[in-house]
Amino acid sequence: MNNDIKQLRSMLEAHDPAGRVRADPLASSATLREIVGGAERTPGRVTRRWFRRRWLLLLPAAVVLAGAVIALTAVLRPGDVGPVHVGPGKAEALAFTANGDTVDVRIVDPDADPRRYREEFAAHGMDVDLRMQSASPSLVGKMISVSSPGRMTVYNPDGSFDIQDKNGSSRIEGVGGSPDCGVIWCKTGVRIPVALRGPVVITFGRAARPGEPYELAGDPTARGESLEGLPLRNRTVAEVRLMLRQRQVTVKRYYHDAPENPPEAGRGWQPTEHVLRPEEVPGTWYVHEAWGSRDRGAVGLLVAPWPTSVIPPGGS
Amino acid sequence: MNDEASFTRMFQEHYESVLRYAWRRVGSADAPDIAAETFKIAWEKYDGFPRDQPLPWLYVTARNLTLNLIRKDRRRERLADWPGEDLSRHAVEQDHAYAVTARQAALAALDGLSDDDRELVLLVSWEGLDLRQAAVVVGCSRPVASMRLHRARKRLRRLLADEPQSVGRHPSYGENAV
Repeated sequence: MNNDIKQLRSMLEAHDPAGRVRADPLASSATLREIVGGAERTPGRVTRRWFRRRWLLLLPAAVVLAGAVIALTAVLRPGDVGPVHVGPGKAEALAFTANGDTVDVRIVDPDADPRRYREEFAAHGMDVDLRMQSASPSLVGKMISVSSPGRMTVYNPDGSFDIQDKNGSSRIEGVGGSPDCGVIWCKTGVRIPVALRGPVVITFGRAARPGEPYELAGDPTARGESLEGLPLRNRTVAEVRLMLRQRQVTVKRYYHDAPENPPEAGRGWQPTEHVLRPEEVPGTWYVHEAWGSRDRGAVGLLVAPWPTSVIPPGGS
Repeated sequence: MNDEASFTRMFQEHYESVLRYAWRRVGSADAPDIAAETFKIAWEKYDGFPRDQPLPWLYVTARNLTLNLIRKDRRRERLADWPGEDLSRHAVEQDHAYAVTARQAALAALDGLSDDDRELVLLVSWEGLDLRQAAVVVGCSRPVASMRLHRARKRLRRLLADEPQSVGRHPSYGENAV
């Protein structure tokens, strides 16, 4: 994992189409003059004006439209149809909700034999395997990812997955609102096209058995986790150590966060290459983030002598 | 230092980086406009602008503008579809046919990644951002960014080696756990 960035850089460096691009000093000076001399600044309010091209003004409208589409998708989800159960006479492992060209699937029994999932999907004509992995509490019963043997899986920004091969593409979507998984993406169910081509593997989190380590470690501050609701960002290490003690949580590892000043100082910094011994971390340092651990009741802490200015997703 | 002097210095320091960012994603014709509009928005919002860490903010803004352009024009949705003219005239004057082919293969492989995975890969390789900065630009946590890069690196290696995709163990957050 630590070498991923190094390897990617070496793999792609020679293919950079803009590696030799240089800014034209005359053109950039003119641009600067046009910006500083021509644009008004209004504190707290953006005065967007025409700038060379009409399309640039379309951005706010596009953002609003995208938001509306997401909201409608969530509101109009056909949950009122009710689950259509298969397998008469025994408790179902899955709940299927038919919806025209797609079927919504939710886990009813997260501890069922994997063969039962496969059988129930097969009863709907679908070649789907559920991979249930031991998960920390916020990820239990949550859909985490989708893959397909031998084919490309593309994860889209809207949370859907496209399974692609030379014959076309099938889209699988997560459904079930926005469960609280902190900074981790998750959904409670999955929407699969009836005409799904080829085998698909869908990963859900399940409760870990006694003594079993987590294969999926969630955000430690998400609902149900060991540090649920605790605002850790920019608290001192001493404060956080006390909060952890009160919750009987231990620090498995400390990582030194990347320097922020000067701005380029942290380039290429991998916290996992900067593990600190506990005695090297004074109580006056600041906690920037907590990471989940394979072990219950343990977390990793990202720390530094300075408070972080990085805003995490969600802006808290 | 007053705002104008501070902005001018920031512009001179980072304009070329933002120009390259846009060039890599929308090509030579639109890159100067994207860069100019990015800095114009920065100037309009300069009171709240993160002066100590300008690059992630600039890239987020440039990214929104490029995505909007791509959505509107629907013409630069695939990196591998870049006109050969762009590749040969602007960037690879000295390259021979093999190098151009290799670049097309690399771009095609990048094109096979999801949008966010590809953006992360480009940010850490071509833009030279570190993991944290790249995570800020795409709006995900550092562990998630780390997981995506790991997955993308493995996938790129497979694609560039022209090997069939094996039955993969899909992203496990456990891999990023401590």
